[in-house]
Amino acid sequence: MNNDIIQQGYFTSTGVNYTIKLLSDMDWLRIVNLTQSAAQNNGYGFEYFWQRGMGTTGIMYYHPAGDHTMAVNSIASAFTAVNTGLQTLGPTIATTAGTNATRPVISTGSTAGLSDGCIVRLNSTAHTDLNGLDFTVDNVVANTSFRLANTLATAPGAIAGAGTWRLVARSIEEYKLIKPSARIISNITQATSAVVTTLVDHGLSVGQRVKFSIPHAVYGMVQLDGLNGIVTAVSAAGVWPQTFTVNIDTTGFTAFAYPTIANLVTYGAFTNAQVFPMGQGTTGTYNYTFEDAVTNQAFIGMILTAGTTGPAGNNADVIYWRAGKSFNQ
Amino acid sequence: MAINTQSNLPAPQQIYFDNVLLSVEQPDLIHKMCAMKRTMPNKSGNVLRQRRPGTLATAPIPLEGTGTHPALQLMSVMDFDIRLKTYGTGVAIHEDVIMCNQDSVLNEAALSLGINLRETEDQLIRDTLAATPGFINAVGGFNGDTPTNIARSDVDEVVKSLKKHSGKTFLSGQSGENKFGSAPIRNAYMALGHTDLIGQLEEIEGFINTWNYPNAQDVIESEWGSAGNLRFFLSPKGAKETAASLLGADVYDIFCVARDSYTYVDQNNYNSQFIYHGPEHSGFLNLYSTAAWKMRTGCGIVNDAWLVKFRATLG
Repeated sequence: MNNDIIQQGYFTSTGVNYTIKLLSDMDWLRIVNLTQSAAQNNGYGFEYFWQRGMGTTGIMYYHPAGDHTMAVNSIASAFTAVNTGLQTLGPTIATTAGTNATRPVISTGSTAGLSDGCIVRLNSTAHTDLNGLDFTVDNVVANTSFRLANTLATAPGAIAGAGTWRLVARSIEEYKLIKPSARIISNITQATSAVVTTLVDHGLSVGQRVKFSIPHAVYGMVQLDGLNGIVTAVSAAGVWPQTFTVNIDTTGFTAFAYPTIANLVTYGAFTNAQVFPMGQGTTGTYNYTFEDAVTNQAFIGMILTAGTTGPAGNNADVIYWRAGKSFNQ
Repeated sequence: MAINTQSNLPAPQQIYFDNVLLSVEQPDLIHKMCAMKRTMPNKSGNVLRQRRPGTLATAPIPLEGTGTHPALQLMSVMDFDIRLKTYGTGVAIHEDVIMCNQDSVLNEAALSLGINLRETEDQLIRDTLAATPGFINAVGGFNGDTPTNIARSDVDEVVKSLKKHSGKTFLSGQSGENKFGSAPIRNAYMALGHTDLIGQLEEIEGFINTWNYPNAQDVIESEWGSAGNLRFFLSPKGAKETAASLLGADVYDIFCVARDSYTYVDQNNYNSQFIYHGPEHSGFLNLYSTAAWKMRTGCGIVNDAWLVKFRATLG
């Protein structure tokens, strides 16, 4: 067990944060950016080291000039250890306003820990139709605002004032132990193949079978309640709003509506419209399996920050990594 | 006259160690008890497949005088796959501990690991039940939140949903008996919830606490009572969503299950392995020993209509 290397691997950077998934805990991690080791780019990091106890800070070796000379520095917010089996909500952070739009923009003085694709929970805002629910966010403007990434069928109906937000997960990869999982629906189109939007990114893939629950008339499209269909298309990753298309013809159905603040006053409490995974559609009309809906995809790992001085590097950088375990003192 | 006391003759060994370990917190683990339990043999892959035949159309047309056979029907099936995965954790104990400590460290490790194994198993099942199915919010309560606290109408709504899909109850009823304060118990679905709901359940119209059952001998430790056709089993490890209500309160997920709604599967000899490696396995100086557990298990919902995630807040 002493100084064991538990896993190693490599990846080609796409210029965004990269998650190394280990199924075991690690005590140290060494990263070598092969591309930048060979290059002579001034200020570019080419080797990084993290050890338990350093938090999110790592040691970076970089080229201090446009040659192969080497310098060293510590680099903050470079490594984020993650254990999706032990997720807890982030701290409560104040919001100051929310726009009355189908993709409301929420103003806040702190976007600590937020990036596009994160999942937040709003509370105590005047947008009562959004309170207590989880949302994927995009358009994060540092310490200014973020936007609810996936379109609501109907705007809340009023501008929101002060409230709070909390970080639920940094991505849908970290959101639930079991994936894919049930989602609250924010919009469904009337189309021969309905396009569905959910508050949190759906995480589905083509071929999966889903079932709809539209338990209250406030949502409009009650004809969809209890129906199931197969996902025929999903929108491109990393582009919001995230949607999926399902092989159900909704052209003759009542238009879908997302409850407004006024609806909550009128109806009081009700159950949300939901879509939940049933499994994998197969070639037969009647046969499908459930495997995808019950798979535990939890992991222990490390999120590497991208960039010139980040261990996940820049686009097309080839990066090698080794993770190890040792006794702590 | 001089007298020798502890002040001038202190006991060299001033602490007597009681080698009987104190009781450890062992929460009621409720999420496995309603599962269909299956065991896969070794060398049979890592996926359990279960199949449910579909229904056939009824045949209400009379055949008299036609001389022809009715159209034959195609059968349908649904397959449900549950993938097994291996889980485990352990502790390493340095020989210094064995040499110096008076207590039986390995016994303590075995106790802690055993509890940890079953809590992990319970958590995996709970999270499977929490993640996948649709939910019903309590809406009949008085607290003005969404979901509300539990009202009797919410209990009936859950029961109606399970009954509508012909979900079978787990427990047969108990007939009334001539005992003071008791009341008959209906045949019931199981409702698995969090211990924070204690006090809330008593507020439900028609709630019967376990000590008011006609026969309390059938009651297990975790059962708290019944309302309508639900019997409530509570655990501090029940599902809870932090600040997930409209008013920012915690939301409690109560899994209301009919028979055969979800499956728990393990693989032969791998549902609870305790693994001890003596110090001779740690290297040439025999510096430490290890104790660990390992299990190979999977869980899956095989009929979403027979399982309701019932969400409620406290009143």
